[in-house]
Amino acid sequence: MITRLFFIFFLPACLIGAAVIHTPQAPKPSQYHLSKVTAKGEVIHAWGGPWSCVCDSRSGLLWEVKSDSEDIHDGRWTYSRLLQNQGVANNGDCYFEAERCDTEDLIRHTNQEQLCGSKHWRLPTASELHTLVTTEVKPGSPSIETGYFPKTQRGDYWTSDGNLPLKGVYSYLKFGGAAVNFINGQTITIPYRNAAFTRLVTNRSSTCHIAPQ
Amino acid sequence: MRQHIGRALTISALLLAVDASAATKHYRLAWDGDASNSAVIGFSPDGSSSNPYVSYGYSTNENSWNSAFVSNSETFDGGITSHFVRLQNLNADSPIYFRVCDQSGCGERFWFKTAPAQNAPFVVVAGGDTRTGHTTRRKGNELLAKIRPLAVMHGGDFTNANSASEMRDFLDDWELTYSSDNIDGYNYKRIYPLIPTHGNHEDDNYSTICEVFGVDFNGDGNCTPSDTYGAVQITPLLRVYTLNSQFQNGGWSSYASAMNNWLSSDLSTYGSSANWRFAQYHKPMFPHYSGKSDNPTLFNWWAQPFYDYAMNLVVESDTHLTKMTEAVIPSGSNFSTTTNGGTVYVGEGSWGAPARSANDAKSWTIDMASIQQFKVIQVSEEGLVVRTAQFDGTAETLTWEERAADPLVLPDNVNWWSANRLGEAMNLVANSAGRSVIEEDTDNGGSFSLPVSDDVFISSRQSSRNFDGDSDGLLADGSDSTYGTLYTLIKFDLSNLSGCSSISSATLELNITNRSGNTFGIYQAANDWSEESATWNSVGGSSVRGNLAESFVPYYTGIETIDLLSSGLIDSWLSGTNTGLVIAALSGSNGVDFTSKETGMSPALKIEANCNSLTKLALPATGIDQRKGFIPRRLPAVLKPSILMPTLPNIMQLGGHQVEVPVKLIEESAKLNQNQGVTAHL
Amino acid sequence: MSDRSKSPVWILLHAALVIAVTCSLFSGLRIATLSKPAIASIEELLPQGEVHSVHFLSAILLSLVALAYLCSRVLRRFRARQQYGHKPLNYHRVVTWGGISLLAISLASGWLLFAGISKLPLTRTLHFCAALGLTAYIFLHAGVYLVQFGQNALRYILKPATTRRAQLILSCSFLIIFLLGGWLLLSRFTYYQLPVSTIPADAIIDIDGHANEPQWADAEVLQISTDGGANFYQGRTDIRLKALQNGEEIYFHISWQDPTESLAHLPLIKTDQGWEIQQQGFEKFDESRYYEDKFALLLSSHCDFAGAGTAHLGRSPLPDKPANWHGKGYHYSQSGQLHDLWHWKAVRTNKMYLADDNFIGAPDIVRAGIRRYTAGYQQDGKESGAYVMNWKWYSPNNITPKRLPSDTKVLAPFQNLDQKGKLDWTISWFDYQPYSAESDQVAPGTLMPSVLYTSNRFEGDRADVRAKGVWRDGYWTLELVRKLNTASPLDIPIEDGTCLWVSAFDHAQVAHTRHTRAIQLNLSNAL
Repeated sequence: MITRLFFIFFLPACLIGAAVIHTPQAPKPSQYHLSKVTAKGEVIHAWGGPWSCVCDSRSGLLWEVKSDSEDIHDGRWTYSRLLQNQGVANNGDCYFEAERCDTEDLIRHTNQEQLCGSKHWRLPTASELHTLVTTEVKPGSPSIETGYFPKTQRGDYWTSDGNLPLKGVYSYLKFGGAAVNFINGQTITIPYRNAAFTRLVTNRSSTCHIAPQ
Repeated sequence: MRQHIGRALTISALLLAVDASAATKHYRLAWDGDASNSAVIGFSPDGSSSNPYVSYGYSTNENSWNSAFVSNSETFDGGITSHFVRLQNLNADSPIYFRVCDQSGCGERFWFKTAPAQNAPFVVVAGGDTRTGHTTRRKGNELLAKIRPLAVMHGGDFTNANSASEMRDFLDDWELTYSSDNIDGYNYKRIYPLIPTHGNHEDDNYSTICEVFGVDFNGDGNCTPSDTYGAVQITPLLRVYTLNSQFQNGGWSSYASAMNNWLSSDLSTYGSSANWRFAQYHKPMFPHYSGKSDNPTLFNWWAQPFYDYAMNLVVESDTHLTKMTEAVIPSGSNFSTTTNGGTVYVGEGSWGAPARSANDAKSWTIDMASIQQFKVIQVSEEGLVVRTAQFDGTAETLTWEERAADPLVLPDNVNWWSANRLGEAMNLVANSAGRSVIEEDTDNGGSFSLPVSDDVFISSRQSSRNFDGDSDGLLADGSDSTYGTLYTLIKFDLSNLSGCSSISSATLELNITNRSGNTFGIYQAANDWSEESATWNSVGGSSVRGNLAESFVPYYTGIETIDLLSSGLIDSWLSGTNTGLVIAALSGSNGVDFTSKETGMSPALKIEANCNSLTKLALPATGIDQRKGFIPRRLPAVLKPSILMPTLPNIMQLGGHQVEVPVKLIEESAKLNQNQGVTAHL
Repeated sequence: MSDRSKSPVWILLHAALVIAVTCSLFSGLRIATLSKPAIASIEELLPQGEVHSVHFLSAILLSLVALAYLCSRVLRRFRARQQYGHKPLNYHRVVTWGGISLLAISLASGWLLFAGISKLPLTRTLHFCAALGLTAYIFLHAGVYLVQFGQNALRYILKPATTRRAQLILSCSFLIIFLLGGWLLLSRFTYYQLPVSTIPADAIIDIDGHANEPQWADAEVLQISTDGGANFYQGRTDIRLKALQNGEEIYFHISWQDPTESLAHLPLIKTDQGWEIQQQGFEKFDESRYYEDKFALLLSSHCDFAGAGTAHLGRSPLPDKPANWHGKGYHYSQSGQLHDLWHWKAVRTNKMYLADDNFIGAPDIVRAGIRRYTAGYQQDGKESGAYVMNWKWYSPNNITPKRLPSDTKVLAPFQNLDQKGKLDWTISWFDYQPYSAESDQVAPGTLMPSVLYTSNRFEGDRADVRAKGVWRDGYWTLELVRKLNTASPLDIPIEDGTCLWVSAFDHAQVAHTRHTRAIQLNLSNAL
C-alpha cells in the first residue's frame, strides 16, 4: 500500500515540486573559431560587446570590425585602391579625410590608432579575405558571419592582390585589383578607381594566434 | 487644399519698399509644364511672413513689374511650410526678374530664363541622389552654378530620411546653385528651374516633390502622388518625361497604370513633335552595381515604349555611380545593342551620396565608374552631347555674358569623366525614326559602325512572301523543311564613308543565335532590293547571289566576325551600286539564325578608316540631311576652325590617350524666331 | 472492485478516454503557459512542439467517447428502468460523477473556445479550471483505484471479459473512422471566411489607416475574437477585418481595440551612472512594458491549426537547436513550406508606411555570436534601410548611445511617458550626432527615444507590404496592401483559399493574442 501510495501520489508530487523548483538554464554560446576583441585588445564573451576586431583562430588573423560610428572604421565608407603607389588615390567616399579616400588612408589611420593593439594593419590577400565568406546567410545579408562582422555591406571589399588583367568593359583600363564580393562570395577584378569597401587585417597581433588543433 | 488666391496685378506702388527684406528664404524654382511660358516659384517663411507674393518683370526696372500671389501652400513633414507662386503666360526665351515680398518688404533679387519657343540650343544638367555626402553635394551645387544650365533634372532621393530637417539642409545647400550676377547695377542671383523626380527615399511621402517644389504635373491644383509624373516641354527641341519608378511597389498599381497609360498617350500624341525626348526616373532598370536588384517591372513597363516612341536619353539614379550605355533596343527580358537607333541610358545618381563599386556591367554598357557626378547635356536641333561632370573646384565660372552669348558654352576646366571609347563626350544624333545613334569619332584611324539600312531573309518555298521584321530574325539555309532554300540579304548605309579614305578594316558582325557547322558564303548582291518588298521571286531567286566575297562557318552562338575588307566588296559598293550582300549556304542543310535589327542586335559593319569629319557631319549616319546649325561631335584639334570654338574645354591627356573635345558648329542656332510659338505640346 | 470484467467496448472506450484526457491535459497545460506564466513553472513535465493539433485531436477523441458514453447511458437508463433499481452512491460513484461533470465542462468550454463565439475570458477560465479539476480527478479516480487494487485495477480496465475479437475490431474501426472523420471535418471545414471584394483596377485606396474610400463601405466585415495577449484587458481583443482586391493587389483594413497607444519603445533614460534602457523582460526577448504596439498577419497556402502548423511551444521544441529565452516557443515550418508574416510595428515601421515583410520557414541554422535564435521566424532580404537601436551594444544595465541630439531641447516632449498626443518616437540619424561622453550634456532623468532611423524605409523584398496604422479613441485601425504575387521566393502568392491568422500586440514583444480557426480568403469573385 505504501509503495502504491508512493508511486501514485508522492512521486508525481515530487516531480511537480522538482519542476517548480528547477530553473531552466539560460542558453549559452558554443565554442567557435571566431572571438571578439575590444579596441584595447581584450578578448570578450561571444555574446558580449562592443568589440572592434575579430580573431580567427583557424588562420591566426585579426580582422577589423566595421561600425556605424562615423569614425574611420565606419562600414559605409568606400575607398579607391591605392597600395604602394599602385592604384588610384582619393576616389572613395569617406568623411574623415579632407580629400576623398583610398585604402592607404584607412591603413595609415588604423595603424596610427593601433587598433586592438596592433600597428601592422594591411589589406588582406584575396585568399585571406575569402576565409571570411560564408554562404549560409540570412536573406539579403552579406555573405559573412554578421554576428561577428556587423555593418558589413553587400558589396566589393578590396584585397592586396593587384596588377590583375581587367576584362570586359574595363579591359581598356588594363589592370586592376582583386576584390571579394560579399554578395556571392566571389573574387572579382575591378579597376583601382572603383569605390569599394575595405576591411583590414593583421597577422602580427599579440591577441590572435592559430589555435592548436 | 490649394487656394488660388490671385492673378498677376500691376502694383508698382508696393515696389517702393524695394530695399527692405522679406521674411522668406529657401527660394526654389520648378518647371512642370511648358517651360517657355510658366514656372513655379517656391519659398518658405523665415520667421513671420504674412501675405507673401512675387513681384516680377522682364527687365530690371522694378517699376514695370507685376505681382503674382501665392497659388498654394504646402507643409512638408510637419516642419517646412512652402508657398508657391505659379507664373503663367510668360514670354518665351525671356529673362524673368523677381523678388519675393511680404509685409517686411522685398527680398533678394533673382532671375531665371524661360525656355525659347524655337529650336534654340541649350544646356541641361541631370543628376540625382543628393541625400547624403553633404560636402560632395555642395560641391556639385557649386559646379551647377558655374555651368549655368537652362534647367536641372533631379532624379530623386533629395534627402536620406525625407525629414523636414534634412530637407531644410537640402534647401540650404540648394542656395549654392544660384549664380551671382550684376545686371544693370543690381546684384541678382540666377536661379535654375528644377524638374524633380520621386525617389525611393521619398517613399514615405509620395507627395514630397509637390510639397517641396510645388510641381503640379496634372494641373488639378491638388498635391497628390499623381504629381510625381508628367512632361515638361523645354523648347520644341526637348520633351522631358518624369516618371515614378516607385509606383512599382505594392499598393500603387492604380497609379502605375494611370502613369503608364498617360506615358503611352503622351508619347504618341506629343512625343514625335519634339526633336528629342528624355526620361528621368529613380530606379534603374538594370543597376550597374551587384548590390542592387534589377527592376524587371520597369523594363516591362517602359523599355518597349521608350524604343517605340524614340526616347533618346534616359537618366536613371539610385545606384551612386556613373554609366553610359550603347543605344539599346529591348530584346526579350534585356537590352541588346543596336547601331541602328535606340535609347541611350545614363546615370546612375551620385550627386553626393557615397559612390558604390561599379561592378555589374552589361553587354551593352560602354563604361561606368564610381564617381560623384551629374550629367551635363548640350541639346540642339542636330544632336545631343552628354558629358559627365565630376565634382571638384577646378571648373571656371561662366559669366552671365558668356551664357547670354552662347547658350551651349560650357566652362573651362570642368573635370569631365572620360568614358572608354567615347572620351569626355557622348555625341548622339537621331536617325530617321528619331531614335538615338551614338556618333563616334572616326578620325585618325578611329572605328565606327555602319548602320544597317535593310535586312531581310527570302525563302524559295515561300517565294512570294516578304519576311521583313520576322520574329525569327535572319536565316540562311541550304534546304529547310518549311522554307526550302533561305538567303539573308543585308544592306548598309554607306553615307558615313563618303568622306573617308584608306579604309583599314571592314568587319561584318553577326549575332548568331542558332549555330551551324556548315559553310556559308557572303556574296555581293547582284540586284538591288529593299527590305520592305524583297521576296525570293522579286530578287531573282538564286541569281541574287553575285560574286562570292567571303565564306565562314558559324561554329558558335554569339558574335561572329567576318573580314570583308580583302574581298573588295565595299569598294565595289562605293564605286558601283550599293546592292548589299547575300548570305547563303555553300554546303549542307543545317541552317544558321542570327538577329535582325528588328529582333535584337542588328548585323553591323565595323569600319576603321580615315575620314573627313566635316564631310561626315554633313551626312550623318542615319542619312538625315536636313540638319543644320549645331553639330555635336568631336573633331581632331587640327581641323577645328577657331571661329567655331567660342569656348572649348582643354584637350586633356588622360591615361595616356589624347581625349578630343567636341566642337560646336554654330550656324544659325542663335537666330531665334520669336513669332514661332511652341506647338501644341501641352 | 467487482470481479466482473468489462466488455471489450468498455475497455476500448475507457482506454481512449484515458489517452484523450492525458493528451488534452498535457497539451492544454502547455498551451496555457503562453498566457499563464505560473503553469510554465512545470514546463519540464509538459510536451513541446506543435501541441495544438494534439489538443484538438484528443478533443475529438474525447468527444467521441463522451458521445458513446451518453448513448450507452441513455440505453442503460432505458434498460435499468425496465430491470434494475438505482445503484447506491459510494466514493467512486461520486468521484466518477464529478469527473463526468468536469469532462462535460471541458468539452463544452473547449468547443466554445474553438468556435470563438463565446465570452472568451469566462470560457477560457472555465476550461482551465475544468482541466485542473480533471487533474485532481485522475488522482482521485485512477489513483485511488490503483492504491486500492494495485495491478488488479489495471487488469480490470485492460482485460476484457470475453474475447469477442470481431466486436473489438468493429468498435476500433468505428472509433478510428469517426476520429479521422472528425479530424477532417475540424481541420478542413471550420475556417472563418473572409470575402475579398473586387474593386476596379483604377480605384485609388490611400494607405492612411482610414477607410475613407467608398469601396471599404461595401466590403464585408469579419469579426473574430482573439485572446492570450499580454496587457490587453483580460488578454483579449476583437479584431475586425475587411479585404479588397483589384486583380493585382490585396488590401486589408483591420481594426482592434487597444485602450492605449503605446509608442515609447524601449526608451533610454539617463541616470547618474549613465544611460540605461527602460525594460521589463527585453533581456529575455519578452518585453511586455516598454514596447510599441504591433500587429501581425500570418498568411499561408496551408490552413493547419496553430498558424499553419508553425507554432511550436516550449523552451526547446527543436532538440538540436538552442532553447528560447522566454520559454514560450518558436515559429517554424517543419515541412519546409514557407509562410508569409507581415509584422506591423507602431513605431519602427509605421512611419515608413510599411509592415515588416517577414516569413516563417524551416528552422534557421545556429549563428555564432548572435544571442537570439529565432528558428523559422526571419526577415525578407533588404537592400538598404532603415532603423537601428540607439545603443552600441545591448546591456540590461548601462549602455552607450550611438547618437545624441545636437540640441537636447528636442527631448523635452518625451519626458512624460503618460503624455497624450502624437509624438514621433523615432529619431533621424542626421538630426543626431555621434555620441561622445564629453558632449553628453543631457541631465539625469531625461528620456530619449531609441529607434534610430538610418533612412526613411527598407528597400527591397522586406518593403513589399505598404501599411499605415492610426490610433484613435481606443482603437487601432490599420490599412495594408501587397501585390497578390510579388514573385519573391520569400513571399507566398495570395489566391483564393489562402489562409490568414491575425495577432495583436499591446506593448508586448512576443505575447500576442491568437485565435484558433484559420481565416480563409475568398477571392472566388476575383477578376
